[in-house]
Formats: sequence, C-alpha cells, structure tokens
Amino acid sequence: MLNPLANKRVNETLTGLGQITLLARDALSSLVRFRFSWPDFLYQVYFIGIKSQTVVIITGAFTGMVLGAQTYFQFHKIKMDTASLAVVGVSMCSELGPVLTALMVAGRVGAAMAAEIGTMRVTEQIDALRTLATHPVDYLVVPRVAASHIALPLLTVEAICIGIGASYLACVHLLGIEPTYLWYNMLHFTHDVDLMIGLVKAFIFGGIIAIIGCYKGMTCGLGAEGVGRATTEAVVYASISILISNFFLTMLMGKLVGQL
Amino acid sequence: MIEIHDLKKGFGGHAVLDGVNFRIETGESVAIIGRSGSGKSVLLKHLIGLLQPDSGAVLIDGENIVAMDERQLLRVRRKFGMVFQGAALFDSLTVAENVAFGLRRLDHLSEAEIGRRVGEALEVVDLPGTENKKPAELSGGMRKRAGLARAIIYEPKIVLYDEPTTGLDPIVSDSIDQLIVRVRDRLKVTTVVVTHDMRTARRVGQRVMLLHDKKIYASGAPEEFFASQDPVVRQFVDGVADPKEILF
Repeated sequence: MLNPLANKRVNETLTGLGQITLLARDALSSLVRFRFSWPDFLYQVYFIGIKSQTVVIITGAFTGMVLGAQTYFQFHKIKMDTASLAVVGVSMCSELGPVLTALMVAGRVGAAMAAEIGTMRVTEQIDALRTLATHPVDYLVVPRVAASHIALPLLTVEAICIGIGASYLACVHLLGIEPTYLWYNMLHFTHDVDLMIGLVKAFIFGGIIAIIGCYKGMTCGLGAEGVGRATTEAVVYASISILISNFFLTMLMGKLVGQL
Repeated sequence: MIEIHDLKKGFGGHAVLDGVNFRIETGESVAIIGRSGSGKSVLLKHLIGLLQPDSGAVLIDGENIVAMDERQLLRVRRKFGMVFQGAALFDSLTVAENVAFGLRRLDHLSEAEIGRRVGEALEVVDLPGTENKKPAELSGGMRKRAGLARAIIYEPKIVLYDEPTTGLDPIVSDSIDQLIVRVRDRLKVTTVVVTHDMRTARRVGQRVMLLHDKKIYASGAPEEFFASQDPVVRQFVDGVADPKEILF
C-alpha cells in the first residue's frame, strides 16, 4: 500500500504517460493523412538539423577522440594498438553516436519546443489557433515530430563520421598508431548492422524528443514559472527516456540481428 | 443563433458558472459585463468550445457543441472569429501572415487574392502599411486591431471579443469601440463582447447582460439596463466599491 503522496505521484506519472501516448497517436493519425504544413515541416528540419551543427560536431569529434585515446591506453598494454579505431567505429555507430547526439539535441531542441509551445499556451496563441479552425496537433506537433524523426538520423550519421574521423586523426598524429592497419581494422570489425542499429535508435530518439517537448509545452502551467518548469522537464524526461529506451532497444535489436 | 442552457463550470472544486442561461439571436450584438474574475472570459470560451462545461448545453445554430470532440469543433469554429484580450497574435509570423492565417487554413485562394484581402482587412482596422511588422513591434492598440483583422478576414458569422479595450487609453478604446460597431454593421455579424468597460458596453451592445454571482443577473437594452435601479446593477454601473472590500 503506497502512502498518499507516492500514490499521487504514481497517478500523475501514469496519466502523463497515457497523455503522451494519446498525443503520439493523434500526431501519427495527422501525419498519415498529410494534415500538416510542408513549409513548417521544412523549417523544423532546418531548425533541428542545421542549427544543431555546432553541438553535434563538437560532441562527435571529442567523444570519438576521447574514446580512441582511452582504448589505445588499454590496448597498448597488450600490443593491440591498431584495434583502437575498430572499438571507436562499433561504439560510435551503435551506441555513442545516436545516444550522445540525441541527448545534445534533447537539450537544445526539446527545450526550445517546450518553451515556444509553452509560451504560446500562456499567451493564448494555442487558443487562437483553435478559434482559427486549426488543430494544434496538426500545426505545432506534427511538423516537429516528423522533422525530428528525419533530422536525428542525419545528425547521428554526421556525429559518427566526425567521431571516427577525429579519432583517426588523434590516433595517427597524436598517439602515433600505424594508419593502414588502424583503418583496415575499423572497416573489418564495424559492420553495416552496427550502423543500422544506430539509425533505428536515432529515428526513435527523434520522436521521443519532439513528442515530450511538445507535450510539456502544451500542458505547461501558467506564467513564466510554468514555462520554465515545462522546459526543464522536457529536457530531463527526454534524456531519461532516451537512456532507458536505449537499453531495451539494444537488447531487442541485439536479439533480432543475432548478437544475443 | 447561440443558446446556452443551464451551463455549469468550476475549477478545482470552485464554481465559476452555476446555471447560466441565455440566447443570442443571429445578427444581434450583446455586451456581457461583470466584475473581474466573475467568469466572463470563461463563459465566452464556452461559446466557441475552448472550454468544456461540467454540465449544460451550448447550441450554435441548433447544434450542441458540448458533445463534440476537437476535430468536430473545427467545423463549427469556422463560423467564429475571436479577438483575445492580449490579441494572441502569433509571435513568429508577421502581421500580414497573422491576418492571412484564417484564409490560408479555410480556403484555397491564390497568393494575390490573399494579399489583396489582407490589405483590405488592414484598411478596415486602420493599420495600413504594417504588413511586414512583427507583433512585438506593435503597440497594444495596434495588436488588438491586427487581432480583429485576423478574426474578420474570412467573414465569420459570429465575432467574439474578450475585453477588447482593457489596458488601452480612452482615445484608443474609443477607436476600438467604433471599429467593433463598424464591423458589426458592415458584415452584419452576431457580436458578443465581454467587457468591464461601461462605455464599451453602452456603445457596442444592443443588449447588455450582467454576469453576477455565477449567473446572468440582469439583461436588457442599454438605455433600460443603465437606468436600472437594482442595487447590484447600480453598484456595478456606478463603479462603487463594497465597504467590506475597502482595505484601508
């Protein structure tokens, strides 16, 4: 038997999950009927994809270089220096690329979505949309969710390429590893399926970021405090959801591709 | 025609509307007055389905909109235009894009036709030349005018105004009042104005209703209403504070 406070918390969490599911269903229904606006969709692709370049490039490059260096420090002890980039390749493609890109985009884009839609809510702009015979899900949620689904896999590919490239440069020019075998081993041990796993994850993470950002904006409390809280919660909940779902996706896809 | 039957609405266990009944005929112009926090805006939002009542019925041209879901309501809302207290213009769009919003959503018009109608609507509300400005660059009165242009451009049958003159100086308030009357007479629309500005109520309402104690307390033609000797009506019309509410 839970105490009343815990009971209330569980109720709120379950209600929130239910409402997010209903919002996702509404968005999917709108999407398949092409009820959304193409210019808004393209603007969101630009906002999520192009405007996230700096964070994605920096995240990809430095994560790749750190991973390459750390792997080298361990592998050097057993004379396996040239396998360092293979570890970076597999890790970046299936785990670090999609997860770190999603976490960075959740911080930038998820927060912006919650803040923008939350401000629209408190200034009655969402009510104004409804009076103009426009469904807020069609106008606000669907372009963002669709654009996020598209942009995140592209950003992930970029982060993977930058990460492997930066790691290669660090390994060759800073750590003095022989480049031909370093590159050969990376190609030999990194498979198409690793990249596919990363792209599927990125596609799902894109939806998670956008749907949570939009949901938090559309249900935010009144005033500046409400918008601030919605923005924080959007980032926190999206990040937690990404980390938890990543584990289950890894297990599920590992089973599907025969790695387990 | 708008009909409200036994409308009840509360928030967090606190009743705001408790058995509201009235009927507004097609083409009629009604001012709903009441104290701040008396539920005027809540009542107005029920007319267009932005809020769902706890019980009661809202009939628009004979259709009960209470039972409708959000997508069904979109069809009914095409009959409405609404001007919000804070104008509620879309920040990310220019004035022209704001005003054209309803047209783009409702009709399949050419860009040239949309541009022409936006220009006309901005002329009607005395805002020519502001097409490319963002809402943040406009004054409070200009934002309300742009909000009105957005609400009337697709020629709705019913226009709702939520506190159209609140926060504006008397001269701008007067121009907004004149604008409401001009739109009413030119487009022959049903007009519902929620206000606590007695001058606005007197000028734009062919009928004035007082929302008091969660119900429509009094209703009548302006000359009859403002001459009423009922103590509640008099207190509100004359703007006399209750001695119990004077803190110092």
